[in-house]
Amino acid sequence: MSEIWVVAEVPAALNELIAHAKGLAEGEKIIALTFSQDAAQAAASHGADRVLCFEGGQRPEAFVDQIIERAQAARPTAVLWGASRRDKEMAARVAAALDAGLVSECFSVKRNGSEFTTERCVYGGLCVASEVSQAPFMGTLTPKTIEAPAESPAVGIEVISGGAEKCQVLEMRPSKSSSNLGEASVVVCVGRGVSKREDIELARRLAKKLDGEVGCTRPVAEDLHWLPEENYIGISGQTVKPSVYIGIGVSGQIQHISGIRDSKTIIAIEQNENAPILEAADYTLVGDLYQLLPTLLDALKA
Amino acid sequence: MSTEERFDAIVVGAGPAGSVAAYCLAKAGLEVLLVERGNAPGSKNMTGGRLYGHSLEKVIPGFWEEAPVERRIVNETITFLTGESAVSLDVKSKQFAQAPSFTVLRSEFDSWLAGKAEEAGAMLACGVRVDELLRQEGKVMGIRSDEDEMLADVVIAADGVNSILAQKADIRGELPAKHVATGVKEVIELPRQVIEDRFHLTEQTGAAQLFVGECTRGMQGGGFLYTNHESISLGLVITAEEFADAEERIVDLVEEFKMHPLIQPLIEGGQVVEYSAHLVPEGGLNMMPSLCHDGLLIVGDAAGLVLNTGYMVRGMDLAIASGEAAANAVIAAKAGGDFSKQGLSSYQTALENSFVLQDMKTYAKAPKFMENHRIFGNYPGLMEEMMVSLFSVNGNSAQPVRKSMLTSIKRHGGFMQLAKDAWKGMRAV
Amino acid sequence: MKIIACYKWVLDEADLKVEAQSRRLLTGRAKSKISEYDRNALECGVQLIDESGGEVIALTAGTGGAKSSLKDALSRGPAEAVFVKDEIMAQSDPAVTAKVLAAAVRHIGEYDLILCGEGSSDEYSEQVGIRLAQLLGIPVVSFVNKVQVADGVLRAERKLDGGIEVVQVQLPAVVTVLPDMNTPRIPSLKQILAAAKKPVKELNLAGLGLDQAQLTAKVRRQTVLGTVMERKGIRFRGEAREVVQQVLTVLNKEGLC
Ligand SMILES: Cc1cc2nc3c(=O)[nH]c(=O)nc-3n(C[C@H](O)[C@H](O)[C@H](O)COP(=O)(O)OP(=O)(O)OC[C@H]3O[C@@H](n4cnc5c(N)ncnc54)[C@H](O)[C@@H]3O)c2cc1C
Ligand SMILES: Cc1cc2nc3c(=O)[nH]c(=O)nc-3n(C[C@H](O)[C@H](O)[C@H](O)COP(=O)(O)OP(=O)(O)OC[C@H]3O[C@@H](n4cnc5c(N)ncnc54)[C@H](O)[C@@H]3O)c2cc1C
Ligand SMILES: Nc1ncnc2c1ncn2[C@@H]1O[C@H](COP(=O)(O)O)[C@@H](O)[C@H]1O
Repeated sequence: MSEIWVVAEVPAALNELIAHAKGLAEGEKIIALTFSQDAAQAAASHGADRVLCFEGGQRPEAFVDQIIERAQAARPTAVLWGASRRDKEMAARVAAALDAGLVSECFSVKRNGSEFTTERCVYGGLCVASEVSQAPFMGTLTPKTIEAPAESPAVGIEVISGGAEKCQVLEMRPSKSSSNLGEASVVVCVGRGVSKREDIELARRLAKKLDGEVGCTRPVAEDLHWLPEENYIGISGQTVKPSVYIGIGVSGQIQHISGIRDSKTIIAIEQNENAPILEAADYTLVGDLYQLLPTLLDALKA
Repeated sequence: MSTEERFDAIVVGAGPAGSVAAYCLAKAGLEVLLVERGNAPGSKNMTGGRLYGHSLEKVIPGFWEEAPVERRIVNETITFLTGESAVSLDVKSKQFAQAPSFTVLRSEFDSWLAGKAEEAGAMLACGVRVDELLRQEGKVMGIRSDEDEMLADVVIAADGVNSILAQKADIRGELPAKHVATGVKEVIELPRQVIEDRFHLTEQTGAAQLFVGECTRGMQGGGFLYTNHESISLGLVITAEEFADAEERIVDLVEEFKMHPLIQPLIEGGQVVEYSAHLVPEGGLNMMPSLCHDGLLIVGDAAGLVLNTGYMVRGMDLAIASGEAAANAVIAAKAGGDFSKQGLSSYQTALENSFVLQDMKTYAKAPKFMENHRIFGNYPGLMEEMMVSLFSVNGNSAQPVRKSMLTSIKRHGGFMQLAKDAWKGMRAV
Repeated sequence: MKIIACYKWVLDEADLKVEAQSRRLLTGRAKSKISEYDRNALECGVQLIDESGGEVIALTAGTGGAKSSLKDALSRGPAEAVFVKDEIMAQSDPAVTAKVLAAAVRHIGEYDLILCGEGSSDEYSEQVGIRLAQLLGIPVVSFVNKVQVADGVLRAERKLDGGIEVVQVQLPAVVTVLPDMNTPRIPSLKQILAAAKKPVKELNLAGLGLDQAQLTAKVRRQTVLGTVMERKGIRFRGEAREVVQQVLTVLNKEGLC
């Protein structure tokens, strides 16, 4: 066991994993497992000791059996995974095959010899669980919990091909939209209390006035499809940290609150006084958003 | 699933009235269906929170040993509030132990009680709203919920103050404002130790406090404060009719009530974890619909069985007793094979012979008595002035008590008026 | 077609509280529920059966308390339920849960499709379904929001970080479902009554041939502490105009207007 592996589908995640691995290594070499030339290049020039690139026009999942075989042979001290959905599938399959533990979405990993202590959110973000695993350790790591390492002289890349799998990919439709909610200084968030798709315009106008961005809760994106998936905020979506967050018809379930926790000031417009958002907010405008929001927009115009 | 399936009885509403009815029926071996619209019993219910134990004790002896009751009341206070002062009557008595009363939180208590019915063999269906009674030639035959119809020999309407079943059966119309009060309540969490220190309680004992006067701005009604294990239930009940003309919103009155110098230190540092509003039937006998019909009995709040005496609201013990009485009537009707109004009429008789209707009659004059604004508006001030003059030592030469009292009484409506009200009040209680 | 839909009986996170000072998690008042996305899994199974015939078996592993879940699960349409009951499930991690479920699936025998939620409402590990497929040696299609089955072939859309991936796979397979796949039904009165009559099979771990070593969690939990957030919790109530005036003051302070 003299290796730490880092595995992720996208370059940015891979570089952060290398930084985590450097912090954890006690003499182990850092081996990067990548699935595209871009990612391989990135890892090679950001401090990996060895870079494997699984390639051949197949999706990363096609190489899971090979990764399992290699892991059985090399017995790495730790495997650090990215947290994209593909990464999560691969990680869980490898862990199951090796009968290893796997800690999902850790935001911190510490090591003491063969013992790894991790922290992750449970109960929708209401609590943090601190857990201990013995090497070989496996975890998927939340992005943006560490700075990527600086560029360094590149190492060589070993290309491996010949993935195999039972799933046949028929089509891949890349998503176009992207969001900069994460950087916004004001976030206006649309919840299911907004009763018609057209009314999102009200939120847009408020956001525009305050120079902010519009986000939403998970059901507004996933069930109603009123806003792109990239716009939803919460434990399974975006994390925002604006100076002002304004929730409109957002009940404030814990899974959502987990994504707005770092906001400086939280304001809510909500009619139900028992909604959990009232406890999570600094200021709640209690009442019907259809009265309050137009009045607010009017007042801001003046 | 066969459409022929039918039950001996369908009970609509798993509040205290419905769950007790279902429990008694199931224990007697009848096939009972208990239908509740909330996802769990109690999830949609509210009450001030004080259960007079006697009627449940009859159905489930020693129930408090296993039921999720909060605290046993050992300390009763009634307080007359003015803007800044308060005059309280504080009673601690061992005698309360003979007819114990408890504070309860409905989501736990109702779940437990419905669970007892289920254990006894009743079928409990939660998350199901009953929309309609099925009727044939005037006789109730069952219920409809969404597209599902279910038949039974008898339906027990235990669906609370807004009883749509009673309305659908044309037994009564919409409740007029003068027959209901609006109740609002907050549950405020505090550590157990803090509650026990502030109210001088032990681990199991609790305090009940009732308030009259400024907390309703002199409107007919009152305030209440009950201690639970780790929270305080605090709220107001105000006649809906008065409220219709009032400037204030009830939420604002609750905020004010909480800020009163007497209340504020009691809830200091607490966190509001629940806010709810609900109607209280309070027309007394005047609003009571007839309770027995062909294939249908009406129990609890749906039947208007609530006593609002001005200083206390009692509904749960009546609900429980009426649920038991209705179950007994159904059991008797089954034995006789007659589920007509006549066959079920022993329900009415049982209520007449029990405390339920007797207490309702005793307090029948209460609604009228309470309409008197002096009770809620003037007299708290009077009490205060009298007591303050009694206890104030300010260096002025002391007046004889009688004299200072007379001055106060004059200012607050005069002696004759007071005597009249006192007389009416005595007759009402 | 025979479908196994896995669900977990979890504490309702909306009932959970954190004690401010100690940050201790208070579960005393919490009710339990079928994990949110497992309702989508159950619904998905029932809808597939409605189209092409067959039956859904609901499968759960939990402590004795999970017994209360069976009626709820069955009222959502499955023909029968399998309940693996053992107190050890309170200390289970995804590795153990997946082994237990795999053993239960083998015990059930024939099946065409296994459905799991994307992640459970409490742990949200997003692992159990995927691990289960690996242990059973069958393909997994994870993070799915659309499925079709025809002639033993499953066609599904996966929602991934980079976009939508459409895949096809020969059954049997495991699918983990996303919440936007469907809207779970609200059981009707007749469905609830029918549920009470459906068969429930209760299994225990010894009966499934699992030994202590297999049932020891790989990940040991040390502490669970509430994340506390200090917020002002001020409520503005009253006329729209007044309320807005008050919030303007706040926005003003933030230099926003
Ligand atoms: C494992 C898991 C992960 C999840 N991850 C996320 C996540 O990352 N992000 C996320 O957002 N959710 C997530 N959820 C879902 C989350 O639990 C909630 O269901 C969701 O956040 C609720 O969205 P909402 O507030 O828009 O809708 P609702 O809960 O329906 O709230 C709507 C609110 O609007 C109010 N309202 C209605 N009409 C008006 C009006 N006219 N005026 C004023 N107020 C009004 C209502 O009182 C209500 O409080 C997750 C759930 C699970 C189980
Ligand atoms: C503020 C306030 C303070 C009070 N204080 C006290 C007190 O301290 N002590 C006391 O004894 N009493 C008190 N009461 C009165 C007491 O709460 C009621 O009298 C009592 O709850 C009546 O019980 P019930 O079973 O008749 O009705 P409820 O408790 O109202 O139960 C009715 C049930 O029926 C269900 N339901 C309704 N419609 C349908 C439908 N269509 N289909 C299916 N289910 C349906 C409801 O969800 C509910 O569970 C107070 C009331 C209020 C509002
Ligand atoms: N104890 C359990 N019993 C049955 N299914 C489970 C159990 N735990 C998890 N699952 C299934 O696995 C999915 C993912 O769980 P998790 O990996 O904990 O996020 C859940 O949505 C369920 O479908």
